[in-house]
Amino acid sequence: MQVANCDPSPSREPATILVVEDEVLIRLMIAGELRTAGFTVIEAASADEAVAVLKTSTKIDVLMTDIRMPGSMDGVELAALAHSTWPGIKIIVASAYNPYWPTSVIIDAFIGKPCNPDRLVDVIKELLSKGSQ
Amino acid sequence: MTEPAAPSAQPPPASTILVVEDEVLIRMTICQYLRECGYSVVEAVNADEALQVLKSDVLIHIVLSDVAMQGSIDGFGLAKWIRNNKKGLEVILVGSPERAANAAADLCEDGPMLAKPYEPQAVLEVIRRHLGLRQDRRGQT
Repeated sequence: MQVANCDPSPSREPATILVVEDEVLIRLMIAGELRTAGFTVIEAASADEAVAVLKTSTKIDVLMTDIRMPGSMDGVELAALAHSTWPGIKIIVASAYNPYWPTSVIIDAFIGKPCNPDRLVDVIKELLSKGSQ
Repeated sequence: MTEPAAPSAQPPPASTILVVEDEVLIRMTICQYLRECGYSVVEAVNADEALQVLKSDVLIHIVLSDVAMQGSIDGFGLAKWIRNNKKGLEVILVGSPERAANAAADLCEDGPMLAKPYEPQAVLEVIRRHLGLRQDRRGQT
């Protein structure tokens, strides 16, 4: 099994991925695949839940969010909020369609749905290997 | 440095717990603790999601559910459905973060790991800290 940690230092903690997806069976599939790949995963069923997690002291390395979700904001708004409030977090948006983005640079990667788990893991590893930019 | 394994002490296969809790910070903390105890954990934010999971091919061994949740049914309704449709599936209902932490601690005692990752009281303290932080932020204008 390939370890997701790209840093050769063995003492580094696995990266933490916050997965935001309102459809439970999709969410548990994505979360399961990411845990199998060696990541720590926190699950949120809405942008509101994701914001509650982001406001804690929990270190989040990557935010992966769906777009269309019930609640006070959708995934685009969540991505914009995360980009401005928590700039160190890498942001991936997963969706079946490519929405209009309010600004040119909010997300670090876009992945189409249905999501290929291997592709998602590769995207996350690539983002993490770039470090903070 | 690795600790020597206990002689002929093979931990049992990890069971899968379905945690049903609509407060994300409680759910996150409980699920993290149970995973560190060696369980595989599936998360549902309410009974409706839990039913989707239970009706799928995901194998669940234990259900740990809050009682009061938004949705078409609450924890009691979920337990009743399980009793009628998933005979033999263990259901643990909890009505407060304290009871959830205690239930998680009890599960950890019987869990796959040979030792608890940390004291269960720490689980409750983390939950209280998260909820206290959230209440403070709600009070801010």
